[in-house]
Order: sequence, then C-alpha cells, then structure tokens
Amino acid sequence: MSSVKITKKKIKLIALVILFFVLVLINPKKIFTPVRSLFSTIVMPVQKTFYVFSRGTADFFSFLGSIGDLKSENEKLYEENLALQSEFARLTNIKSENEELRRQLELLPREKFVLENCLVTGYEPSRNSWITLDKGTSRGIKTGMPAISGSGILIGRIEETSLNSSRVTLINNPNSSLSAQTQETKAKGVIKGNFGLGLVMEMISQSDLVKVGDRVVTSRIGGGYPDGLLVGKVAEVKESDDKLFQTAAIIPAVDFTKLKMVSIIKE
Amino acid sequence: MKNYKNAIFFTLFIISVIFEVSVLPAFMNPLPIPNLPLVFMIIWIIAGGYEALFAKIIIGGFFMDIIYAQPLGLNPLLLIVISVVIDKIAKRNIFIADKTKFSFGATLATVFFAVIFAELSARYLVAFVEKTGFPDFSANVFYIGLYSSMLFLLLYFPLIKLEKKLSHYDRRIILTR
Repeated sequence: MSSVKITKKKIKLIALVILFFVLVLINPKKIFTPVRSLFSTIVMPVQKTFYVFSRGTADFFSFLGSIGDLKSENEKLYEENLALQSEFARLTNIKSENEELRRQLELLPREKFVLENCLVTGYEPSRNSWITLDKGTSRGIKTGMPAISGSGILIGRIEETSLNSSRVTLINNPNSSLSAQTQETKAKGVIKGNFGLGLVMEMISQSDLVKVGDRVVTSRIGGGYPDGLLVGKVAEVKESDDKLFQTAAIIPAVDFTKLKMVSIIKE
Repeated sequence: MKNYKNAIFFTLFIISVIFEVSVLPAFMNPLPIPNLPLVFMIIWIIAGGYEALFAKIIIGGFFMDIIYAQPLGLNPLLLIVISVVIDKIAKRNIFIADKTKFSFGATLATVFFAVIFAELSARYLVAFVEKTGFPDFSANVFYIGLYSSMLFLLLYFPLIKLEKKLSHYDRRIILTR
C-alpha cells in the first residue's frame, strides 16, 4: 500500500517537473506580463523602501571608508574643476559659433530630450542585465523608450511597464542590440550585450580604423536610439572569427550596479 | 498545525527575494551576489521537510519568476528539483539539527552545489529559451556558491531556533484549543 502511495507521489512530482519544464520552453511572456505588472505595482513600495534604505546605508559606510582619501581626492577634483572651467569657456564659445553656423545653413537645432527622472529600485541579481524603476505608464513611460544616466550615457531601453513601475533591459543584456559608431573615426558597428560581463561591438568593417580608448556613441542607423549618446570606450580590438569584420570589446561608460537615478527619453 | 510557523517563514522567504534584488546589490557590489532565497529555502526544507512545504515552494518559485523577470516556471522547477535532493539527504540524517548527527561539511557542500546548479541551470535555460546563445562559463558562479554557503552559516542557527520557537508556539495553540 505504502509503495503505491510513494509511486503516486513520484508520478505527481515528475508530472510537475515536466509541466514546469514545458512552461519554461513555451515561455508565455504575453500571458505573464500583466500578472508581472500587477505584482510589480504591489511590491514596488516595499522594494523602493528597501532600496533607498540599503543604498543610503551602503553609501554611508562607503563614505566612512573613504575619509582617508578625501584630501587627495579634493585636490584632484579642484584641479579637474579648473580644467573643466576653461573647457566650459571654450565650449560655450564653440556652441554659439555652432548655433550661428546652423542658422546660416538652415539646419534644425540639435535635439533636446523630454526626460522623466526615475529612481532605481532593483537589479537582476546574477547577470545585472536589467533594473527596475519606480515610475511607469502613469508618468507616460512606454515600452521601447531609451534610458540614460543623468549625463547622457545610454544604459538601455524600457522592456516592460506597469502603472507605477517599469523594467529597463540594460545594454549588457544578451538580448540587447544597437547601432553605434566610434566618435573619433566614425567606424560603425553593432553593439551587443555579453551576458552582463560587458559589451561587444561587432560587424565593424575591416577598412575602418578603431583604436583602444576610442569613445563609442549611438548611431541613428537602425532606429531605436537617438544619435550621439555615449555608450563606452573601446578596450580591445580583434578580428571576428570569420575574418570578415573587426570586433571590439567595449567598457560601458557607467557602472550599472551603481545607478541610483536614470532618465527616460520620452520624446 | 504548522500554519503559523509556515506563514511567517513564507513571509520571510518573500522578503528574502526582494532583499536579493533591492538590498544585496547595494552592499555586495562589485562582488557576485549570493542566492539568498535559495539558502533560505534550503534551511526551511531542512527544518520542515519538503512535503509540508510543497505548495509554498511552488508559489515562492513563481514569485521569484515575477521579481527576477525570468520565464514562468523556471524557479518552481529548480526549487522542486533542489528541494527533493535536499529532502533525500536530510532524511539520511546527514544534516539534522541534532548536533551529534550534524555534519557541517556535508551541509555546506550541498548548499554550495545546489546554488551552482541553480545558477547554471537558470543561465543556460534562459539563454536557450530566449535564443541568445549560451554564455561563456564564468568563475563567478563558484563565488556565488561560496558566498551563499557563508550566508547559510550565518542564517542556519538563528532560523532553526526561530523554527523551533514557532513550532512550540503552534503546539501550544493546538493544546489550548
């Protein structure tokens, strides 16, 4: 009798394992998304509280640990500030010159974005390839909108939204793909995520010149992202496996795990 | 009988999932993040046996799918497989709260390998389902296993103590009735 009972249990267990395995393979995202959105809306206040508290505590301990370095860092920042002030003066001059030239050439002014600032409330734990934000459709955020860090560094794109939360797929996610070019030599390529380990720029023509340290920005080709958002710097250049193209390893311009605030480009 | 205890443990499990996503990254960066919900689940299974917790393991797994944005069914699948293995080992008295039979090495090794199994399975299954190509094997999986084992050391005794207190409380409620 007991062996029959055990067999029934085993059958139930195996059936469940098969059921879940099939469910994973089917991956019914469309059915799942509304459920996830509902749960995200419920869990978001708790997540936000936890995040703000933990980030504040971590920053406090980090500050305590860095007190010894503050003097040298302050001196370094002072020197940087002086250099930036002179750079600012020079760029202000160039800006007005650029505006004048654009007016003369009857070009449209350079785009200015309508941004929605959001607080980061969570990260994917293992691959760091998505983040959750505290704002959603109630603030006009829609799927597909680009997400940038404060200073115009591209971090990803809105993948899912609910009323008061949204999820950004970071550019280091293996599903992410975007057109980009080097700022210095205009070498074009496609940037893909490398499973949270970094970024890879592929499909760079052999005739294009790419150097270590070149800055990589988004390109309008292929759509999806505005022109000129900073992605990162070239760390290594090598030939692709088929020898037809070059491939470059890119170091992202921002540490995704340290993001506190991000801006969503709404228009 | 165990409703009160299990309700508290289930709430703690849900909190551990949110902790994993919203709290640990702030403190652990740039180190790999330990698998807190799995460690918690293993302790819970050692304390209560997986049969009594079967439904809660599945619900907890679905909750992880939602919070981690992973394919539906992935975490229930992994948790069931791991909990069956943990339960089998626990029944062989390899790790029981009784200190005379307690083998810490075996327990830690089980946690270490369970976490690595869960991490690798999740990564490769997600890559297979989302057709992104399989990721290169990364050594940080071992660090996740190591940190999770350390977390287990930290949480095991307080949680077992809590479990005993709650069981005692549940029995008193039954006797009062």
